[in-house]
Amino acid sequence: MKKLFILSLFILAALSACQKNEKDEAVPQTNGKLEIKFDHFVGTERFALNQSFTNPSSGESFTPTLLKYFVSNFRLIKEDGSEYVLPAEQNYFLIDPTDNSLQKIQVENLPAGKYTAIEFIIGVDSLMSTKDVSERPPVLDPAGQAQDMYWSWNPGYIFVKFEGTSPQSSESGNVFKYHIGGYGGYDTPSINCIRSRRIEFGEAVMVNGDHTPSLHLIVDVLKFFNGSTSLKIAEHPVVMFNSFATAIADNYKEMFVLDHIHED
Amino acid sequence: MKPAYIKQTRHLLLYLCLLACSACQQQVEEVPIQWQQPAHFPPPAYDFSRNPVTTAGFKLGKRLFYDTRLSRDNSISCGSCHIPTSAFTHHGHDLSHGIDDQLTLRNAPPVMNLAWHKEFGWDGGVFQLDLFAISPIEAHNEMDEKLSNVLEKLRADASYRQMFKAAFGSEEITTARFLMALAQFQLMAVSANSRYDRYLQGRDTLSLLEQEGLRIFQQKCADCHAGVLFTDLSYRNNGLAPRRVRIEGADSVDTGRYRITLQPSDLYKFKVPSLRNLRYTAPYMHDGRFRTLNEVLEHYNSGVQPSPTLDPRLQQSGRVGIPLNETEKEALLAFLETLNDESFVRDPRLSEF
Ligand code: HEC
Ligand code: HEC
Ligand SMILES: [Cu+2]
Repeated sequence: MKKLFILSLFILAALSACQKNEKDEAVPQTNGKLEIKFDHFVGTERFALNQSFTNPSSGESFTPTLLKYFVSNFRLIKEDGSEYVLPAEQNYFLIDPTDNSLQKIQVENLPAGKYTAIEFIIGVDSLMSTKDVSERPPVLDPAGQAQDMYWSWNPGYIFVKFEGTSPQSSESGNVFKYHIGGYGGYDTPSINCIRSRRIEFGEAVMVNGDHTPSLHLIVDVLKFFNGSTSLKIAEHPVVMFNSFATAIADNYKEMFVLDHIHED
Repeated sequence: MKPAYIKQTRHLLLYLCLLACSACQQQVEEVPIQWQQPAHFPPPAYDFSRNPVTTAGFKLGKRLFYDTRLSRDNSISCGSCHIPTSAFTHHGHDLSHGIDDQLTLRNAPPVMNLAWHKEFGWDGGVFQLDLFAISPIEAHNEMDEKLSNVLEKLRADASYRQMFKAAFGSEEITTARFLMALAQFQLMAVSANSRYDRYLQGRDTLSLLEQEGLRIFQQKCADCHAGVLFTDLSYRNNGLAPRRVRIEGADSVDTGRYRITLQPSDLYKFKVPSLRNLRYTAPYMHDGRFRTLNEVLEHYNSGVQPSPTLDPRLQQSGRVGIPLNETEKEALLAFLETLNDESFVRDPRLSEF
């Protein structure tokens, strides 16, 4: 009896959902919102600073002390293939897994419609990296949030900064430091660590004035080590602006996967 | 003008001179500041349309340039390493020393004629003059301060808020305004009034020895030290043997332009320096390894080290280096002397006091 009741509830819900959809198509649609959340993990464990993790592939253990990175240039792709790109000045985000206000992106004023994928880059594009400081958004102010995410001697942003300690590191204090960046060089080609990531929803997600879906991405820090290149702390305890950085960039691109979507 | 006329007006001229001088003394600060293009120079690389030099902007930039609050312990200013009477270099130091007397990686180059440069630093890593200032402020061995702290210190000072208002229209102290003001001051550091400049403009003559030096220079040096800037602003390896240095506490070698491009073909290349005001800028080269110009010339003559990136200009017809005999050296030195610009190093607008 109870089961039947639940079932009928479901049917009702499904019906009303259908009705709503039909209604939406008829009524002029209002812009909506979309939220993108970044949840940080190390494999199956929740990421945390000052906590020891083990990389099952390499057997190395590590204790993160800092992780921050830039994501930018978000575009949302509609069912019909058309795209919505966030306004340039609002399309740069610093993500910090230790700061609750820096793990979520709110896309406001998103044109109503059915969306099937997002695309973004990890890093800061070359155009913005070389723009006049006066024209950069506050998140990229070298005296603001971007202060410790910026190379002044080789101006450009550190896209991903990941530091910690590991018994496998031969550096003093057993530290490891990965400061990865490089947008391709100003007038002479140099390393490019910008990586673009496309995430398919696997379904069409409705956005309009009533629907504020939320995408939950999982950022698996293990992928930083175990990607197309296997990064061993013992072999590379410090990687900053050098050619090996691009291999790490190939790895960090893989960190981002869709876990689930809250439709409302 | 006719000599007779000059005689007649000599007294009047003298009087005018005196008047002008006394006016100068009283009003040094009041002369409106304007960036002027020297007639015999190429057009500048700096985009003045986005940051025109104004009197108020320049004054602010000057104060910032000489303000020790830009360093962590308020001990060092830009002017500590870029001393105007040394043509804005750190005289007598091969490597400069910054906060807590720590050594810099490189020898401080002159802040001079930078309006014509496209890239800054010995490796050209910084692509805009405005952006350069962040690097010494934040380098641990230079000023070791956070840009945000610097701005906080300035915001707390009412006289600075006033100056930002005068320069940019409101009291807001932002990263961009701070950098633009510093750039305005640095852009005014133009050296274009050496004897050689006056010779080019037909206002002075060169001795026979100096002319001989000029001829040798054009033949042997001007490919790289080109034009009135005495640099083609390219990156080249002039055959200095790499030396061990410490980079961020680690034993290393200074790979020059390679640090920026990571292209093996750029190993040990450095921005060709200008040769103006060499009298004031010793020691020489990116690491200040040569104390005298004689040593520099001897380097070109006999010290050039072969390497895969050595400039082809320095390995011609089967010989490494630039052959220079003693008479040629003497003439070259005489010519290089004509590039010293006393009016630049003594420019009261640019000096701290
Ligand atoms: C501790 C000494 C020191 C201080 C303080 C210092 N500089 Fe420098 N400066 C240097 C050195 C050394 C270099 C060469 C850097 C390099 O090539 O890596 C340099 C290079 C420069 C250049 C590049 C010039 C060129 O020819 O490309 C500029 C511009 C400059 N400094 C401006 C400044 C400003 C503005 C300040 C203050 C905010 C400042 N400096 C403070 C030592 C210093
Ligand atoms: C192949 C290009 C090239 C040629 C030719 C050349 N130079 Fe240089 N010169 C350079 C470069 C590059 C540097 C800076 C090297 C460094 O510090 O690593 C330099 C540095 C210097 C310096 C030091 C300047 C300073 O402020 O530190 C002097 C002086 C100098 N050259 C004089 C000469 C003279 C005189 C000649 C001709 C006999 C000459 N050069 C020929 C490329 C060249
Ligand atoms: Cu000193």
